[in-house]
Amino acid sequence: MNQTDPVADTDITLTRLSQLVAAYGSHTKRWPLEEQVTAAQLLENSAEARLLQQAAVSLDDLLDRVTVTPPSPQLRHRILATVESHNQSPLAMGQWLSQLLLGTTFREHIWRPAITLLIPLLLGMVMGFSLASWANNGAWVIEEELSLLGLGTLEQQL
Amino acid sequence: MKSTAGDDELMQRVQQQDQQAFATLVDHYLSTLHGFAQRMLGNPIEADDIVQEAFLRVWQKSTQWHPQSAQLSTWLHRIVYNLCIDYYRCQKGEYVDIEALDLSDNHQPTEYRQQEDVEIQVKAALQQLPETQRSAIILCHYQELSNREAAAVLGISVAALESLMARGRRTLKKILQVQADNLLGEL
Repeated sequence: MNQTDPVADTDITLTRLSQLVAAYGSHTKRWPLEEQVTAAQLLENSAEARLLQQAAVSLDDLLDRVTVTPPSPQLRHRILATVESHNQSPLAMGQWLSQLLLGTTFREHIWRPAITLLIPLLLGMVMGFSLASWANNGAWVIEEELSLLGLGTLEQQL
Repeated sequence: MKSTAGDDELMQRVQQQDQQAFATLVDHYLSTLHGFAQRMLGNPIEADDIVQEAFLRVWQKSTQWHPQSAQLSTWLHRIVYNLCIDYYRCQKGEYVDIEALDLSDNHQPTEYRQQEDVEIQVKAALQQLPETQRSAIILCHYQELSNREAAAVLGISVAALESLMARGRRTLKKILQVQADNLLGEL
């Protein structure tokens, strides 16, 4: 490409400008720092360049409408408390147990206590079923063994 | 957010386990990183957990940061980005279905409701993008990182970053054009 040909120069720059707009949008402050000056000059001198830029404005406007919820002050407190607790070495037994059972994050505060409560419930159910099955089968076996033992004793007596 | 000259000194103190310096670091970067996680995940509650974990890692692995290798803001964004990616993998690609969103809350004034609908639809459209395209757009558009910083966070070249952003913006435009009737006019 001939560098002295102004039309060719503009063509190249327009191509690049269209790439910049496609990638970074219409706001020149988001464009690569090293290309901002050249791009601004082109935008000033070329109606075509301004049209290219204009085509990206509506999408940028829509993107700019997306807001975020600011972090709560409790989050800052939680972060600092977590770091402080990691600093204490070794961790106090009670603190370790409470962190294990209750969790340290919001999600853990929900599922860990639920699991903590579920474990004794499940253990109780398992033990209940085991005892019931023992009562049905085991007790009969013991009873038979006792009677055999009794018979044995009777035979010995005889 | 751009790193400041004071960041180096602040991090040196954090590396020496100075809790006061760490609190200052949290105050400086909490909003920025929380906004980043929230936009990546589309959910402020999950963002809370991600940011808490990120700051814990900063505290535990502060010595891994070197001012010569990356700006502090780039390093922090990379930590949050990696945690968000881990989160996505656990969730196995859950995304917001734009068609399934309830946009018919009749209890608010029409204009306000329309504004909210636009925001919900743009958020949902962002969540429909492939994770790398979404990350590239969020880092450059919302987090205002330079192209080199954003490329460093994603671990790719600047050319690859530009390609991701161009494809992402094109896809966003297509998704939102489908919803154009609800978007206060046309794109």
